[in-house]
Amino acid sequence: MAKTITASIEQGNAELYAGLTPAQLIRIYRLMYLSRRTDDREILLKRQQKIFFQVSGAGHEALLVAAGLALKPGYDWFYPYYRDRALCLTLGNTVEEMLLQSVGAASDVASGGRQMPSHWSNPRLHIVSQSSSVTTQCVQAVGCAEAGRYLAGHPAAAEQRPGDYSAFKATEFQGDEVVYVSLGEGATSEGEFWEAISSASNLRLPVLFVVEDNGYAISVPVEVNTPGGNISRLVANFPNFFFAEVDGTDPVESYAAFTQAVKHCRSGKGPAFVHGHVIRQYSHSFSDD
Amino acid sequence: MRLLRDGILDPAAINRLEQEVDEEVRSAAERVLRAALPEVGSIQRHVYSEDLDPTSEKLATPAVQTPDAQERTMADLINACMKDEMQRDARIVVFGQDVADTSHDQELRQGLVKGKGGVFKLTSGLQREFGADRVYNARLAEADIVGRAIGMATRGLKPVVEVQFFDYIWPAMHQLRNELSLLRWRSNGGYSAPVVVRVAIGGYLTGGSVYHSQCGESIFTHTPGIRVVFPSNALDANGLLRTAIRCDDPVLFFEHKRLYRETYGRAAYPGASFAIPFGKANLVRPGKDMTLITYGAVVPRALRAAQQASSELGLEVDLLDLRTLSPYDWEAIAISVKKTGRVIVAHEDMLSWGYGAEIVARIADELFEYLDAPVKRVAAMDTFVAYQPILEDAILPQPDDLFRAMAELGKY
Repeated sequence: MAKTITASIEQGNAELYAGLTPAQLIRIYRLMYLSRRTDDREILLKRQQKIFFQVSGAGHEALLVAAGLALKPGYDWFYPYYRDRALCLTLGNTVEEMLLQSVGAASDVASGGRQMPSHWSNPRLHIVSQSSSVTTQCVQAVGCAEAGRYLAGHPAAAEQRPGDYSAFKATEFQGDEVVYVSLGEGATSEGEFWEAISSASNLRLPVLFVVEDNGYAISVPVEVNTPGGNISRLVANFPNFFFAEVDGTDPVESYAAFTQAVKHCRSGKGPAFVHGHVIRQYSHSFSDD
Repeated sequence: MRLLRDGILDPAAINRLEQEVDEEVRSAAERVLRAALPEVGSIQRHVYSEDLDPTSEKLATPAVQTPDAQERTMADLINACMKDEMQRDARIVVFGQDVADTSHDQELRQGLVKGKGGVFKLTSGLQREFGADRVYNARLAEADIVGRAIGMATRGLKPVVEVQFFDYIWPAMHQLRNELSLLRWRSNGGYSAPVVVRVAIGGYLTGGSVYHSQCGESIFTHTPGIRVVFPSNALDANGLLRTAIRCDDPVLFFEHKRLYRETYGRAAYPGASFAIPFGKANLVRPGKDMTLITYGAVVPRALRAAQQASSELGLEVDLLDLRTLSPYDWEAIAISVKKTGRVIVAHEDMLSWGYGAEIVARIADELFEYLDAPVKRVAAMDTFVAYQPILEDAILPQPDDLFRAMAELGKY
């Protein structure tokens, strides 16, 4: 049996791995493992009081690496949240960059020591600075997508004038860039989530909403936050969306969903919503038990 | 373990991979523990833009005479500034509730509708001139309006959005305080969002009541990272809005709705480049006996009181209109206080914990030796504004209240 499957892989059987090659599967595993070990190292550093806070992405890795592989760093835009370590590693953040934020170093590319660890920000990769507030990234991601469309339709906007703000803000656009934004299932309780998906729906914007559903918001189970316990069922009637609900611990299933979602967004048809079921392997953060 | 099951990697290869990763993580940790820490002296960097200083004298551009010499209201000159700036800068987009002429652009082009352009008509005609992809209505959701503006500004656009009434700014508060004001500092300059948020503010409306009359500027001056501007007249509104739009910081631009179409403070159109830098107060009238520091709708009221004090009591009040609240013109305050030795700080917002408390505290601290009397404040009662006009009149500071304060302080 194993021999047959290996042969199929060597033939590049697209259906078996959603178009992923064996080399990519290995890379996926490496990135997932890298993310987990970085979390573990941070936990160790926290115990040694060499860093001052820790929040992990353990259990979310498969979904996130799949997302990272389906998108393009420095081309697309990213509004992740604090469990998205595996996404950021896939996009090109290094472990060293992440740990520099954890120790609060001056050369921390995300914040120069001003923000807690896992508050991703990397201008080179188009990962936009995150706050600790959940959900606030959603409406911003919508605006980011609007800007991409506007810039593509208004070439005059690229002009930079000495003496005003534009001198310090070059613009760039691709015409089909996607804006990724993620949040936990508990964070979908916030009103701004609904404001964001409403605007994205109405304006048909290329925003890829990713809900990482691990069943808990600190100690609060999903059915307390989400009527019916499943966010996909609630948002299902928003127009212009591509919807997918996947096992977020299966990187191949996740990748298949993401490639379709990204294709939908790039084509200008509208936003996408990928709901990944994952597990929160560790506590909410180091301060939780 | 798909890799094992499908024969892609054997256990030995997996172990090797994992060991490699373990080593990558371990050595990264070792390196970062030797990394330099930030310097305490760097703490204030990137609270505001390090590239463009909106208080710079270089930004001051005088008014020019144009063929259009008719006196215009504050609403007119704000609208004119927006038109001029949108012609100059293709990155400006305008959205908010009701700001469009119409969401059905076709009807506008076919001449079927007049066009709304804002509940106070401040954005009237902008859609007609610049198109529905630059001027459009937003959904009834303030956090959405401000949050989307942040996302756009991050990409280099200049959103000039509107919150219809200051009384309804609160749903946007999270985005304003935790995101817009903080983005540059928390990213150590990596990202910024120089958005302009225009807001209709204030009372003295005779029936505006609790939810159309609010002030609360001190809540925003108390938020580092955002500029707060509060003009009292048409010319200042035009010149300060220009600076707000062209600058590299987020700005809350407060427009007093009672002053929109007042006779007081009208001015001729000053041309398309007129600009006033932030942090420069205006001396409305000079005086040697007493300093009165204020802004917004209290400026004309304080002027009436000062004129009365001059004619009835022979008291000459040095009347300072701050125009911008953060930053504010401490130098002008110091010059005046050193000259007069007596100070009143007045504002429309409630007295306790209001904007005046900060100014008064700083005067008492840094100008103590120059004071001949305690520093006084005149402001609204610590309640919201009531509907019944006789109640509103009592709650908000009136020229009589200001005159009485001047008289009392003059006697100390």
